[in-house]
Amino acid sequence: MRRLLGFTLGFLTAIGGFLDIGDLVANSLVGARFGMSLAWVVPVGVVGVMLFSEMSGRVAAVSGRATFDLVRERMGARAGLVNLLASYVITLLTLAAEIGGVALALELASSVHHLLWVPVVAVLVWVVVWRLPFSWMEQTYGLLGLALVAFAVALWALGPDWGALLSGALHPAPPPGEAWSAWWYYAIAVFGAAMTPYTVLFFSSSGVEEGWTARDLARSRLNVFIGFPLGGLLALAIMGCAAVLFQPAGVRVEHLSQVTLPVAAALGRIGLVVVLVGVFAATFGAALEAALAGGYGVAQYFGWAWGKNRAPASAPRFHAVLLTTLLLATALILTSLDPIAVTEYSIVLSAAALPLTYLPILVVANDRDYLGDRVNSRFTNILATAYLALVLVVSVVTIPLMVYTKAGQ
Amino acid sequence: MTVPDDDARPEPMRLGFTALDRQIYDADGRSVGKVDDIELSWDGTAARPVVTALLTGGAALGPRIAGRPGRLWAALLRRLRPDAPEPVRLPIGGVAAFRPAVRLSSPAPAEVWAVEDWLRDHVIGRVPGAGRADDNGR
Amino acid sequence: MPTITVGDLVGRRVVDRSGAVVGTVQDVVVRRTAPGIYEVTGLVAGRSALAGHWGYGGSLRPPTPLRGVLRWMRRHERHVRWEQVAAVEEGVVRVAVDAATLDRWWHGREPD
Repeated sequence: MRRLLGFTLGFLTAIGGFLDIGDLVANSLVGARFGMSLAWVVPVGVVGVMLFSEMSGRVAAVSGRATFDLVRERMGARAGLVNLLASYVITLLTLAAEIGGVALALELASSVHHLLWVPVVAVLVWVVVWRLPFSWMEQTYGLLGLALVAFAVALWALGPDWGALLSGALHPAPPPGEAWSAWWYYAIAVFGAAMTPYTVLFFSSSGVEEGWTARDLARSRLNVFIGFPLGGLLALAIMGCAAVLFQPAGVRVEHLSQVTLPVAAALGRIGLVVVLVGVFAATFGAALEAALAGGYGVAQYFGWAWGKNRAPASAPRFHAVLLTTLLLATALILTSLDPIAVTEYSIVLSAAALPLTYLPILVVANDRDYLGDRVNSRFTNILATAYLALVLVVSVVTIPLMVYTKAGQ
Repeated sequence: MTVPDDDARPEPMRLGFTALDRQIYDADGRSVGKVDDIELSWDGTAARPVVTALLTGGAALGPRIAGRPGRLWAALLRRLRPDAPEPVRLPIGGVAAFRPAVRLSSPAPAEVWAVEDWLRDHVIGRVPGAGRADDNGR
Repeated sequence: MPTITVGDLVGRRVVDRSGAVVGTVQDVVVRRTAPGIYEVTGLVAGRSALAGHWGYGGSLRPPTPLRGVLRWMRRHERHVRWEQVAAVEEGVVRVAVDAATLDRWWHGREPD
């Protein structure tokens, strides 16, 4: 019975932890503007992040080293540095977006302007990272993030025409009045929101911190293979809610309040409260992960002592980097840039940097020195290589497309 | 924890592949850094150079990242400022094993910890709770 | 005693007796001759640093779909035995023989 509880806890945490401000904004925005025609991107993104998270987790469990730790060893100092820089900048941008997201959620709940909440959120993130134990941290925001299931409930309560939604999903083409270039641009955005680099960075290091062994491998795989797809379903529910409520009226999603509006419309005040708790938890959890991922990346590249669980005095450089990352991200958001805009840029640039962040994982997962005979199976390699080709194409196309569509206008 | 001593075999190995950029742990298990470069020396009359030390630290990594221009730049700096920081040198005699990570047979030299100690004393260590590891509460 | 670092060697151009460029130094091959004594036996010269990282004969196996691509990218790779090195100069390593006579594999056997 206890094992069942532990197991359920694991994948529930994965569901709640899967969604962040990027997914909320991207799926809602896309649903409002393109209906369900981009629904196909979600499973593509989910399979990709499942694949690379599994590899990342396997590396951590079998070798006892975090994936990023091994990137420099396998790819060399220069390639490792390029990888680090790309990952760090993207993670920084993502962290800024998440802090902004938490602040926006608090603004919706309290009517206090989000910029006033930003410093509070930053301090809270730092305090949690400084003191709260890992498992406690993950389980709390993971379970609270499940409140986002309110989107699925709301979609059902809105009583949509399921046939129309399904046919929209099965006809991948921009609706009348929308250009293909914008459609592809937002396909990349949804893809980047699902495959954020900090997820795999964090996943691997947290596995090492929690002392995963080969025995924990099965459990972590189950969490990934059940939790992430369910998270993907929630993402589709968010898209559906926006499609049902906003697309017929031609309204574009530009604020967090619009993202949560379908739930308020369908479930009233209670629904709004629940979904705001969910948004807060999911974005706060993502902020924790992104901040830690920034610290992990730098410390692991240079070979410094790292770890959240250990006494901070035993890993001062890691904590110094963590603090600096948090301060930089806070400063970025305090420049009063629109958090939604920061979010959009962070997910699109994430998509552009994917080859740099994912190729090393593929390299490391094939090394017998670290994994013994638990290296990638042929099937995994074929699938991963296909995804590598995909992310390469996406990466090449992203910036030109961003320029051409003026960031999705 | 015993480390497999694969290097006992006299098979050739590629330094860049097996030793360079590896994590270094000292005898106490503390993370010392990465192998940022490897020093080779010609000993007297021997035709073939041998590995004499592992180099770690920013001064060793910098030239490798920047490539040839970086090395020329570093050489120039050394000539201008003779007391510029030298990379930390770990003699090969103190290396117990190379795979899966480099393990030293003794505690690391004090200069490795310079930045860590400074940060601990002046920044991180000043914040309450710095000395305590997370209690798991399980 | 004169010293050089591996980082310094890697990246230097390798030219053969006739002055033709063989490639750049990709790696240094050593052999353990006694406890704590690692003697340099040769250099690996090639053209593609990225492909070189997949290390044939090492513990790193390329994923199946990429195997052929990587083999093609590494087709210029050659092993220069230390005895064949004529001089190590600023930015260049001069080899005393012609490129065609260089060993193909640094570990002496065909990779799997």
